Amino acid sequence: MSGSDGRPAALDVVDLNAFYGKSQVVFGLDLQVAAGEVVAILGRNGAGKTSTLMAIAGVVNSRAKSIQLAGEEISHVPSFKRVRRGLSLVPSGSRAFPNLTVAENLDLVRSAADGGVTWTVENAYRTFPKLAELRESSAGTLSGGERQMLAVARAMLARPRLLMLDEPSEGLGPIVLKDIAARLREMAKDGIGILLAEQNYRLALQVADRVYFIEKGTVAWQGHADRAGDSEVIGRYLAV
Amino acid sequence: MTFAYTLSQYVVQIVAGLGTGAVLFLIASGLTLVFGALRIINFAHGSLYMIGAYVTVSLAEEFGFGNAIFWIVIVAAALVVAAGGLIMEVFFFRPIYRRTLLTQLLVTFSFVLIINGVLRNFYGAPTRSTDVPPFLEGSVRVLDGRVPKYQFFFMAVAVVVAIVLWALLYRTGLGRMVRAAVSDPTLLGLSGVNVRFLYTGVFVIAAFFAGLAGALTTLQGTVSLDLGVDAIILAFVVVVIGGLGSLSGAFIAALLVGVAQALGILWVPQASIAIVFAVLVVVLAVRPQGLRGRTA
Amino acid sequence: MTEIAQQFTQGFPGVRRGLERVVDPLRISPAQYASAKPALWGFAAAAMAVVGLLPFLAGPGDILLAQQAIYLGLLALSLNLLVNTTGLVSFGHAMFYALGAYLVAIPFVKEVPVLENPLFAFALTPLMGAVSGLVIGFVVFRGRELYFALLTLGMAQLVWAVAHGWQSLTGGTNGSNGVFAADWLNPFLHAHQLYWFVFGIAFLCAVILYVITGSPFGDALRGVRENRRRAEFAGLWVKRYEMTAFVIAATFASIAGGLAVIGETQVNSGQLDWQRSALALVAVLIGGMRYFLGPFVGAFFYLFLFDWVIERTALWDTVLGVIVLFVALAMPGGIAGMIHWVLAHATALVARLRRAPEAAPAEAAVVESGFDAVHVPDVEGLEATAAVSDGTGPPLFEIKGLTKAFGGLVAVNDVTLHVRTGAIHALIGPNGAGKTTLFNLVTGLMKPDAGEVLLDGEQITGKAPWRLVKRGMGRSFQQTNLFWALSSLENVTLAGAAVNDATTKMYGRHAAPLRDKARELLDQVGLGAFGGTSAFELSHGDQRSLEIATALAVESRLLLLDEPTAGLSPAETETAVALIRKIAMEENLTVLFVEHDMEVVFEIADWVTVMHRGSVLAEGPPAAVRADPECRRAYLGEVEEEEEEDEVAR
Repeated sequence: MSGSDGRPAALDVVDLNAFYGKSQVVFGLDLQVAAGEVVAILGRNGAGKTSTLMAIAGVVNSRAKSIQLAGEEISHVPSFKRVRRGLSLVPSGSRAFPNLTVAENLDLVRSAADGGVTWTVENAYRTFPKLAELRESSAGTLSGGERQMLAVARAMLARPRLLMLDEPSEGLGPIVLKDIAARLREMAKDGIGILLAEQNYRLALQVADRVYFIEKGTVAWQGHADRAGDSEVIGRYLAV
Repeated sequence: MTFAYTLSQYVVQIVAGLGTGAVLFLIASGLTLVFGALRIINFAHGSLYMIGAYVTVSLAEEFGFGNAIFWIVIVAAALVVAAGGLIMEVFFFRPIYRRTLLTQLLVTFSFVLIINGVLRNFYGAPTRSTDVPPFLEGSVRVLDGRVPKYQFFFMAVAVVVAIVLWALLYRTGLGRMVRAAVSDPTLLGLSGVNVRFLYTGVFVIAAFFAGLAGALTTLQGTVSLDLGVDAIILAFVVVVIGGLGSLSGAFIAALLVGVAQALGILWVPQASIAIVFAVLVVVLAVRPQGLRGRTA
Repeated sequence: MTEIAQQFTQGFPGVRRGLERVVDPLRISPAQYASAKPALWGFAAAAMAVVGLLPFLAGPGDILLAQQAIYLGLLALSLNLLVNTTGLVSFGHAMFYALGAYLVAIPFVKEVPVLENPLFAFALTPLMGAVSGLVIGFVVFRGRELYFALLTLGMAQLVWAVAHGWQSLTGGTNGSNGVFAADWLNPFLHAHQLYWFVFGIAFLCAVILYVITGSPFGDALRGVRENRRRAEFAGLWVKRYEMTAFVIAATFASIAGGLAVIGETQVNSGQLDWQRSALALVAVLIGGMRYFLGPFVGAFFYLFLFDWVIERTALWDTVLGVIVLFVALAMPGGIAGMIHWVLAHATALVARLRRAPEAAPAEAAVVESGFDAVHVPDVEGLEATAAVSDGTGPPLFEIKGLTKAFGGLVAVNDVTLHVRTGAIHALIGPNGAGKTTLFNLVTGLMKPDAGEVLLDGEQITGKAPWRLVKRGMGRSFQQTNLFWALSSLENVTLAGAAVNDATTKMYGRHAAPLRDKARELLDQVGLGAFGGTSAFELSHGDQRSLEIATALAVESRLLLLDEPTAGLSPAETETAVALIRKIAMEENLTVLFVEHDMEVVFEIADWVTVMHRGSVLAEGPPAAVRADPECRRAYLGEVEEEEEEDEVAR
């Protein structure tokens, strides 16, 4: 599947099944993200959003008919190599290396050889000036929001063609969220495919072009973001 | 059990203990790094040290132990051991990272047996020894007694190595990755780092320093097949007292154990080692995670 | 072995397929293994007969070697009680062997009155073992897992160092020699009698250990090994069981040591160092720790091989090292396992030759529930009416003002919650609301900073899990927690036995009523046909059902279920829901459960409490909560509210 400009899809997943030990958490899922497109996966907790992203990143046990990153098959590629080919995942929980400084966290990233965007550490500091201030601070002392900024900056340094974020809004205030939403839109303009898993549907609908609703490890609904904003749909898949 | 020694005798003995502790640090530092990053306990680490000692003996017999040659020999021995460590890790240890504690311990223990046999076959059971290179001959006056020069050399080497390791960990990219691996290996993989490869690297570095320790120990006296086991037991004690995974802990604990053993030789000559184990038991009972370790 | 192969061939699917084609026919199904058991018993009996009759079959050299294998075997057998049965790895087990040995040797050499009779001293070795086990146990159990192992090594080395150094007492490396137990046991005059004495004692010890291992107490130990947490939640005071196992193991190790002195008439510190502990471990591993006689098999194999190898090559420890390496990596069943494998193939072959019709059904009876099999169990009355259980009544379970903070983060903030008797009460809330922390606080896994918890009016705040279980609280976990290697029936039986302290029985089997009750419970949850299947082989949904059965077995009045439908397919979820409702009604249970699946909540909950950011946000009947705007906002994000604020600010 290629986008309107002939570029291969940033991500094309066919028949993904993911497992945690014995339990299967994702059942035959299909998913596409075009280059330059922002796609959101919405669903309640436990629906399988994180598992889907982890499986695509190669971190959890999975079986799929095919996982293609910008046209290249990666389903048999080990996790760290997927990163080097241009797949970047920002895991949930604003994870960073707490015993390293902010600068060290950033320097640690191995970028993709021919990645989607040219991004340097300077870019990171310019985009997130707070991080520049905290350059020499240990990441363990950062607040949740600051760690999340750090995590997004690290993901961008990997020069991805596909950027995946797992619940980026978790624990963040509205201003930071606005910031992140703006960044994501910018990155998409640069041609990166963005896949976002969220519980906070408003953030997701602000940035996403298309939306998948996941329930019990399968796609329950998919469509354009404007249609997804329909309160009925939201209520069905997200609310109490 | 006698405590009646002069101050001078005590000081001399303590200095000697610091020297032994210095060599212990070289061994224990690798062991603790491997545990911190790879989370396995390598029983064969002491055997790597022993290989270093025997290889040094061979090289010294072949090329002599002149001042310049000495340096080449000890580095060469360390490199040989590092190569051995590489083979061990890649082929035999990688499969066991996810296995049970018992499996890991038995696999690493099997190498103790294997290496023992090979060394005995090549070198025979009797003890071996080397000369001391000219620049380290003789002793230094300390109070009323004398301390062999090589003890101070050991301490100097230990300090240099400690600085080098510290610099490696805190000032290089590799060190950054190792520290990251200690806290979150999965996240490290997601940063595009080949964590498997990193593990191998850490293991090889640890092996190098164990080999270096072995090379140095030839200066102290005889080299025998007991070396490996005696070393690993003491190294374990050091690592556990210092805190698994802590480099600074290993440094402090190594000196502590070295001195404890030295004092033990003075006080309870037949059971000098008992003091060391008593210290271990006390530390673990009071502070199970070791002096500088994180809570278990 | 297949795992290693899988790892090496990870990048080469073609190679892996080829490998599988070779290895698959060699695989044996569990049924075949089981049907080979009689053959294995026969083999074991024959082997024991050979060892017993050795004086007639072999020369004096072999007899001496066999004797040594017996002491080592007994030491290894006692160690296996720790390693295999309880899951505790000890590196210093030989210290008890040493203590037993010196108890027999030293009084004889020093001519201590009364004790100088070696046989009398030998009779006291069990006491020595038990007492030293208790004392040393207090020290070593300060650590868990790796630290426990290292502490045992440290203590053993300490004992050895004293033995080695205190030459005036022990003789150090020269040791104590010439310890002749009795005329009729003189090795020079009555070597055969001595051998039979050694064999007889070892046999007796083995029988006792066999009885203990197979008893309800042994079951409890296996539960601890399989899943320490689950054992706590089955009502077992885990620490006490571990200590008891340690003391028993020490007892038999001391007997082995004393026996060795009687047999060898001497002991010295060189025989008692870390190498002996290591040897015992190696014997356990090589022989096959999963088989009761494995340690003896290992001891015999090792010593006879050692004897053979050392004559032929200087590389004897290399050879042994390679064997240990191979067995550790590739043969988890050890030699006994290999024998079993061979026998299983043989019996299968024989069965096929005989074209015995029994062979086929035996395999069909074992249902292998892989992840493909969506098993919908046959539970009676699953289509119960959607009856709302009468949730009115006094609260069975009260949480009052519970608070817990981790550093700066307040995970649970002054939470008050009442669960009425007989209610099915749901606890919901978005990510990070504090639900699991709350569960951990009330089930004894964490101590709260403030607040109290009451069960039926009684204070249970901060009490250990096993005590809570005994008072009637059962818990399931987000990730299933079962005794994995045990069968379904064993899981349930053990839970029922533990809570009634029936696991302190060290002989025989569980009482019949217990086993019957267990079978009933399995039927109740629809797993009647799976009694013999190991927990890890069950499908995920069945594992959840089994968890519920174990919760029932501990006779809970209150069931705390943490995400009972997590990871279940829609079909399995339906079953789980129906099951929960059914047992709640049948057993008159009170249920408090955490859920994310709203449909489940609405199907069975009478009452819902919503948590958000550590506090209780709302509660009430499901419909009311659904309509509550606060709850909607909590779930769907507060961005809307803050956007409005921003707009107003502009």
